[in-house]
Amino acid sequence: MQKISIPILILILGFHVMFDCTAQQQESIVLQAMKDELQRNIDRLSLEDMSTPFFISYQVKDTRSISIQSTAGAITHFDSSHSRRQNVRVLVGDYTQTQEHFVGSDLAFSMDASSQLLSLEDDYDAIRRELWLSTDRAYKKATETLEKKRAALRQQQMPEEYKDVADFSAAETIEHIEPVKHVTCDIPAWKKRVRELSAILKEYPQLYTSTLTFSFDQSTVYFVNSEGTVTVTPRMSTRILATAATQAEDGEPLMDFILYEVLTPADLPDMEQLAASIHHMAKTLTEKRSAVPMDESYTGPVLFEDQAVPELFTRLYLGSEGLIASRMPIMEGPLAMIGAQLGKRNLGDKIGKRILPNEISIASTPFVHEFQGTELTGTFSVDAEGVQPAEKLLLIDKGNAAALLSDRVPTPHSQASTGHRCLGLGSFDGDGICPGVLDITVSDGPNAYEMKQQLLDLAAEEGLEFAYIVRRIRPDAVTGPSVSDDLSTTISMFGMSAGGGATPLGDPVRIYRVNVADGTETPVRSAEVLKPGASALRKLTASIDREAWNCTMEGDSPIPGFGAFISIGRSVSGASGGIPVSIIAPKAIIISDMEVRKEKRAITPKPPIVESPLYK
Amino acid sequence: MFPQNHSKTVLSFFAFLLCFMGQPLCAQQDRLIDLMSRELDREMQVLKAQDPPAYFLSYRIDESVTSAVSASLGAIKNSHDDHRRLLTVQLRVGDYTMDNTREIRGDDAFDLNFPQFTFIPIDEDEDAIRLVIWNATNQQYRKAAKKYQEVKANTAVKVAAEDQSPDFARDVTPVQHIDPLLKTADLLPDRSIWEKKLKRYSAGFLESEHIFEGDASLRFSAERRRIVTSEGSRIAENRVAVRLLLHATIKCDDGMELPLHRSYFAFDFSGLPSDEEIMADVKEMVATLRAMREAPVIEPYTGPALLSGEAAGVFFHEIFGHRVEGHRQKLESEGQTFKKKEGQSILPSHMSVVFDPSLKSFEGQDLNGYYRFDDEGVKGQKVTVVENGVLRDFIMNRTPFENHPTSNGHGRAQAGYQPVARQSNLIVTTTQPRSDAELRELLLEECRRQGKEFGLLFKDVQGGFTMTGRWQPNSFNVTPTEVHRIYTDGRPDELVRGVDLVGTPLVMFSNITEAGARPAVFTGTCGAESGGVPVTAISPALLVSQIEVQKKSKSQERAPILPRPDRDRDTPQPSKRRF
Repeated sequence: MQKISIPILILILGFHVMFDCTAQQQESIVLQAMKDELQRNIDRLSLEDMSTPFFISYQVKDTRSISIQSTAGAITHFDSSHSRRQNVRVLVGDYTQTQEHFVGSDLAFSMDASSQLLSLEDDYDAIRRELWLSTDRAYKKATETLEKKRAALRQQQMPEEYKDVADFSAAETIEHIEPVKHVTCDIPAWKKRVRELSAILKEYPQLYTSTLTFSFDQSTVYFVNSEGTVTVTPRMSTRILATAATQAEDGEPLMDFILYEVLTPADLPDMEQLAASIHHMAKTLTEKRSAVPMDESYTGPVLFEDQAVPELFTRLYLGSEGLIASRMPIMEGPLAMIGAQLGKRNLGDKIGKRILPNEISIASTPFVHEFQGTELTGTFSVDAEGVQPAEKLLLIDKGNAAALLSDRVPTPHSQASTGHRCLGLGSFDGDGICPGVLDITVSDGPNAYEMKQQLLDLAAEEGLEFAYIVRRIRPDAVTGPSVSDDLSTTISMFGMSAGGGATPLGDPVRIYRVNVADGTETPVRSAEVLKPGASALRKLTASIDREAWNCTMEGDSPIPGFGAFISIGRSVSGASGGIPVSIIAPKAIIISDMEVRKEKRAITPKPPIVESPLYK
Repeated sequence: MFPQNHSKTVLSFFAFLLCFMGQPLCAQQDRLIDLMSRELDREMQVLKAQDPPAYFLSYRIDESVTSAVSASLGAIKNSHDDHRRLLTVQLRVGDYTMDNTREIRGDDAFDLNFPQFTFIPIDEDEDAIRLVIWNATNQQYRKAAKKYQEVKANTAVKVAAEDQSPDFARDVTPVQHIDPLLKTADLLPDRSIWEKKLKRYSAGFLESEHIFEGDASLRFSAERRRIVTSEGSRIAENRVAVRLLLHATIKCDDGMELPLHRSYFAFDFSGLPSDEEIMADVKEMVATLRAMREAPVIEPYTGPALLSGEAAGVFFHEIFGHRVEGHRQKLESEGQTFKKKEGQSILPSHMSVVFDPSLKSFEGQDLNGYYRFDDEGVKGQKVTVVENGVLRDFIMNRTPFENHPTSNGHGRAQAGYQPVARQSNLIVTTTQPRSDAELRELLLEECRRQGKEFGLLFKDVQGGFTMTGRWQPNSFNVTPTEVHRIYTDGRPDELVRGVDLVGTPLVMFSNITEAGARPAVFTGTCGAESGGVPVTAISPALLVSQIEVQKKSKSQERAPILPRPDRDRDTPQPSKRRF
């Protein structure tokens, strides 16, 4: 996640944007092939005595990716790739009942055959052939699944809240063709910059490992469905991720990161600013080696600033327990036992009720493309299902839950799509429900610079000697280089907690203890911040001044649980992808009733035996 | 196929592939080797003084520049170049007699066998490379020390191992061998030319509308493998290879999917066949697939069979090759089929089997199993395993077993894995070669003797696998792609489909009776617990008095409901579309 307060476009980055007429012409071949094959299938695909498809959609995602990975000033891997992936959706039955939202005992671990690589060429016949085979497989699978679902439903009681909920919602037919943009990237220049930036970390020999990755994805997504909707949407994303890892003297693994997410390489900060950020990260992490370990269990006010603010909102409201509509599937077999795990409760039950202070409203504003000079990567005008979202959808209105973000899958709290099924950018990324732009407004509150004093006042009122400030929380998409052994790495990758009990609020890589008497700050390690409770959130204080952040969410995976592997792959390789999201958030917030405690770590590896070769 | 767990199942997979070796080079000093040596010395100075002490450390860096293009039914699906360096650290603690690599015996032993490699910079940046090596070494020492403690406990609480050989062979002469640096930029192919070629090849499969997979792929690789060890070996060996693969699958009306492959392998592009020859092969594949689609499904059968040279090569690789890999003779979880049979007759007296990694080509065909030094830095040596039907030796890495104290240069591993004994170029020979006509007549005679209406001819195979452990049936499976019935009553040969060749090794060995006169080369990649390694199997055709075939598993999916779009007369034209 990246703070972008002032757009700095000083660099001569050797890039340009062009609207490619030739590409448009060629791309019409892709669309034409998609339309013709879809028409043939919707007209004629049928198996005797079985349901015929009532809805077919094709999505073709054409992605060009560049990735330059480095460590300590040297490139470890460079990749420039072009891929095309097709996603075929065939629905049988009718809008009331389709084969979807059903997990049979045999389907959980089978790959989704409808997501396949497609010819890279604009070859009309080749594209149709691939779509033909995928549609055929998807239809047969859908037909069989619908019958299994019907059989299961004859033996199961439908949950009360789902009795009047259809399986697929209607949507308006639209044609939305955006011009295809091609941005060229000066690869030799970026290799040079990556080396230079990455070499900074060599100046800090107490950091054991480091990575710096530059990645740039540009996708053109073609979509057609049998209702007549046609869309062509170009998307772009550029990312610089730097990570570093070390160990404290007692062996505790420590990491830090910087992450910049923008639209094009030219939107990145200049080299001077990037270098300064890396130096700052390296110094912060080096100092943290000798930071005091958390040695108390703290309950009291916590101030969130900087990247920790949008990350906090992401974790609270953009996960399965937040503002995302989710559908509990019908399950059978052994999987029914874990069904409850998949159907976590979102905030649908809270609609009309107060969940935040009445000064705070949260809306999705996907058409907003800029905030205070910052280009927003999450902006979009039509979603992955060809549905146009409203200009503004109020999700939390003056503190009261108002609506959920949804796609064309109805839920008890969302009967129609709000147009928020967003496109995943990478070749292997699924799409997912997300706001595009999440706009958090504060009608009344202090300025950010006043918040620290407010924290100290609150702590003093409670008779506390210290309070805490969190400035950086590691996003799930970022995994630090491993300095520990396999097991702890695995635990970290899968996001498991060794602590048990209350849920930790991610990994607070930058957390400080503040002396209430004089306001001095001391970095702390081994700390774990627990998720705030509902009553604490209703009393939070937010600054009235705001800033914009770009970040990434994980999309849905073709198979339950498979998303974790895509996420791990991305975080290990440093590749980009995911769904771009922009968050316009208060610069600071205070939650008055938080718990901070000593981290419970499964394994603490010993420090290295041999001295780093960087100690000359 | 790789072993799934530590139940000591060895599933070896023999897939199509190719690869190979040394070329235009420029003589420069290999700075990376020097750097590896310096870092290794620095690490060992400290680690050998620890408790437990490191006594052996090796760094292996596999540098590869690859170019890959693939086309499917006339359209490009993938085209890219890649350059990477992978570091594999081998670190042993304890001593040569007992170290951390020893087998943990017992039913509860379980060890996930993931590859452990690290990307190291492709830039020549000494600090960055040493930092990565240092970090990887530290992690490897921690793992080794932990495992060594487990080994000591396991040794103390379990009954004495049957084989008391040391864990690592000591008597190894350090090797100094540095190939000139590869000029990879001059070696890489022009991908645009190959894109055109592969499109043309794969478009040939469009001739049949029932062929739904028709791929042509090219992989060129220029590799340099560097190894330095704490015993003083410094090796840099080059390998340049090009592989071209044709693959097509046809769908039968009963759902069965029938694949067919052709592969071409050479040390450089000039060793590949011409476009015309490849297109002729495509045509022949299409014709064969069409015939296979109409062929009857064969029922399970036992009786005589002829294995073509290619089929016999895979057959030997699976049923025999994996069972003479030295380290398996020490592992208590292994079946050890041949361990006690040295000096005994196991094949007809006219047959011999050697493994020879030093053989670079055979009758003009480049050999994938060629190398000069194995992945433990030992010179690859020719090993006569069976001489005139009698078992004489095993292929060995540096894991000794009873009466076999030294390596013969067969310690092999894919980058990221620890080396074990693996096959190289397997060569089966006979002193009584039979012509094709003689073999056919002998097959028919054997059929008549057994009262069989027909025998089987296995003309082409895709690959196979075998299980060598004690905890499951010690069997093998060879997957044929082209099988014919040869009738005793003079009816024409008949193509059949739907069977795999299965059996157990000792029974099958005892049934080999005759061998042909024309050796054939099967090029493949063998997968086992140390990853995928390039191999070759060379064998004449074999007559086997009794084989067993079982039904092949098949897809239950119907053929596509609609015709292929370009063959569909009713396909909508743009004017008919609603959009």
